[in-house]
Amino acid sequence: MATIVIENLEKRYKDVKALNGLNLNVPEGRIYGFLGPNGAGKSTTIMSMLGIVRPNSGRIELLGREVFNDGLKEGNLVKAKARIGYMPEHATLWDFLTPLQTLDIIGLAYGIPKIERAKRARELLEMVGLWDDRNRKVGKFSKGMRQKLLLAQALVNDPDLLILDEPMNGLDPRGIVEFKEIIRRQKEEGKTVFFSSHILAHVEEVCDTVGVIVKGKLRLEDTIDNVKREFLERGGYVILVETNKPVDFTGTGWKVETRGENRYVIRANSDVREQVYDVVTAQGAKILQMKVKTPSLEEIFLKVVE
Amino acid sequence: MLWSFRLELTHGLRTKKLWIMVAVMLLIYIPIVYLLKTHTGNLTTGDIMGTVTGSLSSGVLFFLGIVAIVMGSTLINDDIEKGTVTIALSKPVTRHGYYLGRFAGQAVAVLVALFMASAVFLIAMRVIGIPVAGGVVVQVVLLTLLLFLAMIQLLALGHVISVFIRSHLASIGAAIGVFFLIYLIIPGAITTVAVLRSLNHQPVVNFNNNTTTTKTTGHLSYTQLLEEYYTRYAFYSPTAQVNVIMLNTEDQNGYVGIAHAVRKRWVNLVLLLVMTAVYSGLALWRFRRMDLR
Repeated sequence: MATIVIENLEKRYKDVKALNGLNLNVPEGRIYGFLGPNGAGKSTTIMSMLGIVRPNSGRIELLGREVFNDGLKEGNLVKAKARIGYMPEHATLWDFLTPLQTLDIIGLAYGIPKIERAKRARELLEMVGLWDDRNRKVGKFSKGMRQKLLLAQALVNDPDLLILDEPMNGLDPRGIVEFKEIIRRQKEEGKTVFFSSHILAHVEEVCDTVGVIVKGKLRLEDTIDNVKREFLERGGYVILVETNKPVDFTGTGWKVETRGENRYVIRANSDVREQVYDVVTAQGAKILQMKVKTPSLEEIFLKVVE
Repeated sequence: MLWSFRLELTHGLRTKKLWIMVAVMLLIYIPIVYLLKTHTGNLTTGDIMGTVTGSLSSGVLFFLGIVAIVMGSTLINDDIEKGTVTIALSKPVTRHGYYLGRFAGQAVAVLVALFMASAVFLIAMRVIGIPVAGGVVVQVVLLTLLLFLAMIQLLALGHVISVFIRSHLASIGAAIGVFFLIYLIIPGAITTVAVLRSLNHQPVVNFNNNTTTTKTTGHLSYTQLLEEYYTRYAFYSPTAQVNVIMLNTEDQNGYVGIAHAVRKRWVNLVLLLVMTAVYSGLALWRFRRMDLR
């Protein structure tokens, strides 16, 4: 079952088309990395899902409930939100509350009984390392501490779908490690995590599926392994040849770059390892080494965005 | 709704604006208490309440009115600027429930402030030896409730500003501007017209032959004209409506009480309630359609 289904979603801000027929499908139990350059529509997508911005048209289904179909279905959205946790990118919590009070009032919004709220607040504050600061006003917190509390508030209802918008901004290295651990734990429990980030290394490390949005449209959506495989086949081979004269690749249709003497980088649209071997040996040269150039998610991202 | 009510009430009772409200009321009550003290001994409920309503209709309505409209004018846009609205609305709450809950929370916070100040006022009178009979307490409570109705209408008017102006600083400026318009400028113009007409010679200039004639206004007195004009032309101004009711707390026989004035000027009370619903309805209508980012 898909946890998030978005079909032909459109959103305009005056003259700017933020979402331009976006389609998205997030399967249950996945950690989905939602990537895109600045202004691509990542935050608008998330806010549309939660009813914080109003899309112009399209369809959104969350956790099996249709929450938008050319118009908001508020009753369904409220029921879906009861099973969703959300950590926004740019947000402050209520400065006049302490972390304990914050989690208590958030728990109240989900209708969690008082005793359970207190227990859950303790668990979460210990998990994010804020238990010792439980009675300090949030207004006096550093950015990193606020980020931790934002994560804690997103987990109050033990959500089936956790939506994270640039969650690691402002965290120190230790916080990032702890954060990744928390996300992995969510996956182990069979929860779905929808994770928007521009730090591709984090996405590559944590997510198992990625979607790349560009100018309000999804350009790519697949598991990280499939994406890499696909880009690998389209990607490059570095070969080192032993030859007296340069190898001629004319007529192959491949993109060939010469790197120093007898070293070539070959890029093609498919797996051309055998053809490379044939072309090189036919010219009396010998392949000493053939290395498959693995593209990083960053390279794939840049390619897709371009 | 209950959730956002609790959130707003927690906020409202801790905000500086609330304590400013209490402080302003107490500052206005000090001269009243001092004035009453000089006449200790032969004061009736009418004497006390006459002094209180006279002072309150000017000072309290002005200062508290500004605080209330400013409080209202930052309810939504400040929330959007800080991003707390995205946290709140990612929880299982509806937009109308969120707005109405916060409105109710603000209203209760204002009510608490008004009653706190009134209680301090009554205690202060008692302490300095002014006889505080049950009648005075009832009148002060009714007066506080009347002021409360005006304040919640100003809150709702502030909410309208807060959903149409995204910057909270700009909305504070706009709120102060609107307040001066409905508290001073429009009532001032209406009062001038009432004065002129009550003098039975409203000048009408005839531009064709450059002459001036006068119109009579029948048997209506200045107060009656003022009440009529405030009701008809300043129905959107809560301070004007409260002033009309206050004008009727006294007749030829002296102080007759707030309940009597409300019975006589029930139209103004209805206007207070209806316009509060209109303002909050407009704010809610806009809030439900807004992109909150």
